[in-house]
Amino acid sequence: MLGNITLGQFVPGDSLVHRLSPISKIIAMIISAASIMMFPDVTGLLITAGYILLVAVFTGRTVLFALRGLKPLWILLAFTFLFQSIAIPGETLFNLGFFDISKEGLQKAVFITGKLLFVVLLASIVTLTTSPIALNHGLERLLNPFKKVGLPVHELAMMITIALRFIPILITEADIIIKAQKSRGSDMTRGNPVDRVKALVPFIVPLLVGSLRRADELAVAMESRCYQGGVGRTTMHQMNMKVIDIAAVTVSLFYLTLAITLRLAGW
Amino acid sequence: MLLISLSKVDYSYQLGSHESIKALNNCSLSISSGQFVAITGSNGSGKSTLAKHLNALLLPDSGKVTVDGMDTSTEDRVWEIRRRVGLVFQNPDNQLVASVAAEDVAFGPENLGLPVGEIKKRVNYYLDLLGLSDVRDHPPHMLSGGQKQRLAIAGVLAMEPRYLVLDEPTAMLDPSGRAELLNAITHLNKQLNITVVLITHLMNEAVLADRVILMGGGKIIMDKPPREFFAQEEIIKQNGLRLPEVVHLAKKLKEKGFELNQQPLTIDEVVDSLCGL
Repeated sequence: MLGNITLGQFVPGDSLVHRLSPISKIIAMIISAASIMMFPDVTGLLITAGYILLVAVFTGRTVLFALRGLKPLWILLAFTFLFQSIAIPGETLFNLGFFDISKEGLQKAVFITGKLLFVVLLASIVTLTTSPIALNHGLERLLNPFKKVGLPVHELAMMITIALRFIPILITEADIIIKAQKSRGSDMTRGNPVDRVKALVPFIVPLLVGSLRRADELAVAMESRCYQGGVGRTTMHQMNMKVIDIAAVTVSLFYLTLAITLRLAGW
Repeated sequence: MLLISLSKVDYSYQLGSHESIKALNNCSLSISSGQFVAITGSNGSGKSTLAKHLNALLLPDSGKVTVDGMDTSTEDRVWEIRRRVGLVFQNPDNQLVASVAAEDVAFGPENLGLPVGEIKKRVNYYLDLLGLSDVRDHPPHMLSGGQKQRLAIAGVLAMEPRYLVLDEPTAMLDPSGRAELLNAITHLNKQLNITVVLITHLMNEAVLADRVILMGGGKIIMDKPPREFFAQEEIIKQNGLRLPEVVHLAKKLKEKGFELNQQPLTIDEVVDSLCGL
């Protein structure tokens, strides 16, 4: 029953975007998101649409998953749209009860909602085309400079690695515990909410105890394999920038330049 | 001096402030390079505690453990000792760190700070050595029990230890996984000359070693080559263990009047003995 939980939303594939190094993907994503926010008017939105289309072409079929992933966001987008359109005063187009919908407001609403949509789309293209492990390595490498100011970058990355490793195991274990409890007559799907929460206790406690025991054994095994934290540690993952990586970052930089130019010229 | 030596080692687990359980009682032992040693004993005999002393996970209350001349209680030698003495545990799930097989093998060499080229070389070599090249990109939870335990061994071997200590490595495996793992271990010892210390309560596994040690109540009770070891049925039974099936069969055959020229340890030896009649 818990077996169909998928980790992250990675869709394996062989598209150009899939083959980019996670570092360049994250960098390009940040640059692009900044650019999207910088464009001053609806023209920018059109340019962005073109840019996203370009990215989508290189992402291939995986981009359909990104579009599907937007579905749960519709409430947020609708709310943003509504709020923007009534909050901006101006030439009244029509009246909605107490509120006037202005032309400027409507423009602004399309603009803001569009920006939001595009940023989410870009971010989900990154997570859809990068395995959680690669994403983790990329983040560790990117955050590396922040070690100097005391950010425990290696420890964070190690925690994510271990979490990724143990989530499937704990899911299996949870499944076994649920079955064991059910076979002894427990039922956590019926009764009033208080009963249901109570029925969860004999499920959560063994799971927690089990994971503490695992953590203990894992710590001993890691020490046996000479793990002493991040100091003096090397990594097998080389993240050399390939031609496509440089190209991707260059394209995003070009896009950023466009955004800055339009902003300076058109405001 | 290439050996692990324990001299007069005592160790107690503390249970609360006043109570303690003596897990090792005056244990002296030396394991030289290239040997295949099986340490057997029933539950609570102290064999796992002994294993944890070999790579400085536990330090003796009194007495001394040395690895290639380095005392395990010398703090700055601990990591070199752990590199030389690889430890494989019972539950394969709780000793694999990474979510991709190849990355898990890389974990040890990465900790040693080796250069990238060397890490990759070792990962490929040891995955291949343990027959895991096909599953190098698989997450551990997609592997069989035997594969997971072989992956754990590959991960330890990638640090190129001189000694491989396995603490009941087959306990969580099914019979085919068990056979597969024992083959791999025997191969490592015979072909690559890696010293193996196999902790087990299964006599059928102990038979594979060149030397069998029996522990009971924290003491070393017997330390003999397998043929002599399994001739001591009384002592083995007193310590809650049973004879290996082959040895038992040979004993029954002898009782029925068959003449077997020596203590057989494998089914082939029994066959040879019988056919040589």
